[in-house]
Amino acid sequence: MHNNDKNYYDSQKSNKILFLFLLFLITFAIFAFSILRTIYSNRYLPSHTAIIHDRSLRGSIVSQDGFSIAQSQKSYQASIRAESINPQNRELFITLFSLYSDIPKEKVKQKFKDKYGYKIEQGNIILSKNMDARHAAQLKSLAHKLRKLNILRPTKRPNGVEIVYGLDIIENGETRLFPFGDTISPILGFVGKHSETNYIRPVGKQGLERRYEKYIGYKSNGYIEGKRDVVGDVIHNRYTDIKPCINGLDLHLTIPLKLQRNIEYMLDDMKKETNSEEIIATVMDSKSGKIIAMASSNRFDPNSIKKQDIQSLNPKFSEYLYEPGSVLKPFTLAIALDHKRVTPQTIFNLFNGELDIGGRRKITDGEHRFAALSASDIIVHSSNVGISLISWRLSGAEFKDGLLKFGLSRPSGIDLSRDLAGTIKPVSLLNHKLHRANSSYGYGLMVSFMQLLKAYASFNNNGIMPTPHLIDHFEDAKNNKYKLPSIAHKTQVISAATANQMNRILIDTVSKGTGIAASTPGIVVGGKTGTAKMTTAGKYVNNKYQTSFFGFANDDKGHRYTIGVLVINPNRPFPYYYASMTSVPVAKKIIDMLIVLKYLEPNQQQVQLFKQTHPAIVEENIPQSIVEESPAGKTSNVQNVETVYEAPELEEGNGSD
Amino acid sequence: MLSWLNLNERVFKHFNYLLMIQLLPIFFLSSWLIYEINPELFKKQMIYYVVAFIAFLISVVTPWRLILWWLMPVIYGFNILLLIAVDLFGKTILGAQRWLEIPGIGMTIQPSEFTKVSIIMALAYMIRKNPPPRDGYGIKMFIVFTALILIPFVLIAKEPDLGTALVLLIVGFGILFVVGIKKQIWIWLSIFIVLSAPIIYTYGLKTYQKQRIHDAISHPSYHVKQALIAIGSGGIVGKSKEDSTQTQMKFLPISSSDFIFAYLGERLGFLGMATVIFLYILLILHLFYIGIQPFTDYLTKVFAIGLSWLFFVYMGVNVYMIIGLAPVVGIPLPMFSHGGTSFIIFAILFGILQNLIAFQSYLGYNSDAKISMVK
Repeated sequence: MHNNDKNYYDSQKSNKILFLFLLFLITFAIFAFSILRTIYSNRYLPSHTAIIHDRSLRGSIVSQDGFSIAQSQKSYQASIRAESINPQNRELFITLFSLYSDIPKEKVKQKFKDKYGYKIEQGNIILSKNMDARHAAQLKSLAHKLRKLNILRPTKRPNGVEIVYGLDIIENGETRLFPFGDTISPILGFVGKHSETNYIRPVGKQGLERRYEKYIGYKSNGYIEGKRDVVGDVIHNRYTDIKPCINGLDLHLTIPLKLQRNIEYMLDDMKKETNSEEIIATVMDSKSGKIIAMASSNRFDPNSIKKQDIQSLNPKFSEYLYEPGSVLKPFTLAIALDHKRVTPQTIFNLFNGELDIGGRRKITDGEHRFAALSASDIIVHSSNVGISLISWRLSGAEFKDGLLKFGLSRPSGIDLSRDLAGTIKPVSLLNHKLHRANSSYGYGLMVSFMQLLKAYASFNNNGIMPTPHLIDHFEDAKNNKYKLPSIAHKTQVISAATANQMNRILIDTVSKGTGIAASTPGIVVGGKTGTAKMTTAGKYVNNKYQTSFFGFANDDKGHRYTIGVLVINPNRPFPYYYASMTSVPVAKKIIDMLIVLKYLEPNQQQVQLFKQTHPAIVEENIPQSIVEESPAGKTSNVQNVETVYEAPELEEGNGSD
Repeated sequence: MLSWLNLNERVFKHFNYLLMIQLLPIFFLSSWLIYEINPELFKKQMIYYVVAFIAFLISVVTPWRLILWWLMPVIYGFNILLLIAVDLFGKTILGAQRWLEIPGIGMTIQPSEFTKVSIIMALAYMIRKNPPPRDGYGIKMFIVFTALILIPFVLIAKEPDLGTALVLLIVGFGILFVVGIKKQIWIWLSIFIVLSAPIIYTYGLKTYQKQRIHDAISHPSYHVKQALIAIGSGGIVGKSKEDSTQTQMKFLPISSSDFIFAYLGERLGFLGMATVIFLYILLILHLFYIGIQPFTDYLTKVFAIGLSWLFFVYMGVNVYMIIGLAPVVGIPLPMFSHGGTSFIIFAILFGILQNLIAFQSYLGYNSDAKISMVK
């Protein structure tokens, strides 16, 4: 045994062991890398669980008398792969699909052609995008039958697997339906589309739909998730995870459909009769502020909005600001009464209806010119001079505070999507006699229809002004009711005594003054008319007016309703555009409807008495010939307009009802 | 001759017990897995164990050193004859002509299985007879050894059973590498292989063989896909028997024999697989260690190194084929997969090795030895 030999073998040994170790190391490293990659790579396994979506729907809008005015339903899409239909059975497929889906055969055939008219042989064809649940269920059963009828054939996928693609019916969205077409349309609003992944939902764009999106919009989707069976259905067992879907809340309106619809039809007729651009009218419960009718003559069908509907999309009730004219006069008087600067009996010298106020400016009355009138008669006969004199008994700040209390230049609180505040002149201007006089008869300030209606309610409710609202309550699936706290808000605007004085004066205005066409036997009717010039781009336009009537109708049983009517641009010859010929007849028709539909119950004794004293009128049922206003000189109107042009900062009105 | 049976304690003193103990965890793990797959197969496996143990005992007491001088040419020659017989009138199963039907009893044998024994035996005998010079064998002896390896290789490759043939080639040349061949020969050989590989690939291989090699790299076969799913689903620590759906629901093919490693992966995860590989590596290193001892005789050396290479190649190819890194050839995990023939042959090889180790010095006292123990 030589040392030499031993060293030689040792070196050989270590070399070879090193070699073997390296071999092991490399082999094992490759093994470990490969195995770990296999373990940690995504395996694209078919899911062990299945999920059934139960998507949440938008809440309905329900009228006070229980009609669903806007409601949602799921829509379904049907699609099929062109290549999975056996070519010789294509006709049969089209016939069957047409039968099951109620889509005309020709239309289905069209789907199988591209835009150049060539047959589509490849790819997914969407046969219908908006089917209802009933048709979807029918088509699902068809899809099941198709597999048995040799109509389908397998298609080969790139990975070599052959799959029979059938008729696919999937839930693709939610459609908003308005079953009553244009009813309540401008205030109801309309919806747009909001796309999620593979699902389209409606989203409120205008009106109530938009304002209460938060409540009626969908809440949370439900699902049923669990182990799946071989065809992909969820197996229901105790491990199944079920989350119920929560739909949007149902919105219950204060408006009964019947009254609303009748008033709408009546407004349509009156729009034609008055040849006006639009008529809007609202009836509100004076005590609670509940609106029981809010109608416009210009409506649209939210199911299919057309180009000519664009003008009507925005409801005018709270979005349309205008100079109110004479209907503002009662507020001026009420503020003065409340401050005890005047009493209804205080007599004012009216300078025969023409008051010079320096320079070439003057305040003029209409045709009825009086030497002197009591404060209450100034309202009854709508004297510009008289109301100006009353306003001068108030300071600018007092006048402005009073108007603010009545809710002017503040949002009315109505639950529509836009509630504009309007403007009144600042105190610095109102301290000027001219500006104060101007504002006292309704010019130089911008108001919305709802502001006026709300303020007039205080005259019929002991000086308390309610918050007007269209929403009675929200209701969830379990019939829990939710009220909005804001609708109960009420403010005492003027003292009850003042309100009652005003109430008396407004009744007089109807029975003796400009609103006489609205008087109804057995019903206490009060109100004030106004005919104001319209402005276009900041300038008064000749022969364009808007007339309004704001008032109330009460009965002995405690029903008290505030009624407002606005007729925009009645295009009639003089003097037929006056409020007494346009707005007041509308108000009268509304009162008649309230009686017919039992919202008001006339005092029968008074009705009998009236029949005895006015036999002819009863027969004719309030003829058009009752016109209390005497014709006004055209000249005076023209004069007024000129005055305005000369002194634009003093927007002196011509309101003269 | 009777003195062979006159075993004294010195024989058992030289017996390598550690080698046997090292095999036990592999047996336990294997039979447990087979039991889980199919208790009936487990019973069969137990019978194989008994048969293999008897074969092992027989081969331990067989005086190989005395009979090898005539047995080696007989076995080698007989094996070559069988392989030629397969070529001429072998039975074709699944497109490959690998089996010989023994007339009368209808049993089939696969001569290529025995070839590994005969090649190791032949190399052992030849190397023992012509020990390598200090710096390795020269070209003359190399050609002789190459001929010994290549004749059965070509016959088996023609069957076709390229998998087994390549295993034999690697084992044969592996033994020569460890025993010692001149460096220059290795260099020329590597150059030759590198240059000829493309030509062999293009003209030497059949289309399906090329397809298999191609698939092994890019498109795993159904078997391999299922095996990969099993291994992937096993993850790091494996799954319970009930959750080992790949195997229990019979998605994994031949799960008890060639693909048992995939079930091991599904059942015991990456850690289980790594443990088994570690056990094999320890075994291979032990065999290699025996073979590389400087003054052991060449019979023991060649058998130890041959077994060590066999284990390494079988294990490596089997594991790689299961994880999709090698073509699927019917090579089992040695002494782990369910199956009789392979297991018994390994038992016999271990028996021969133990015999050679135990009687290494024993024979030294025996003048009857036909093989001179003195260098």
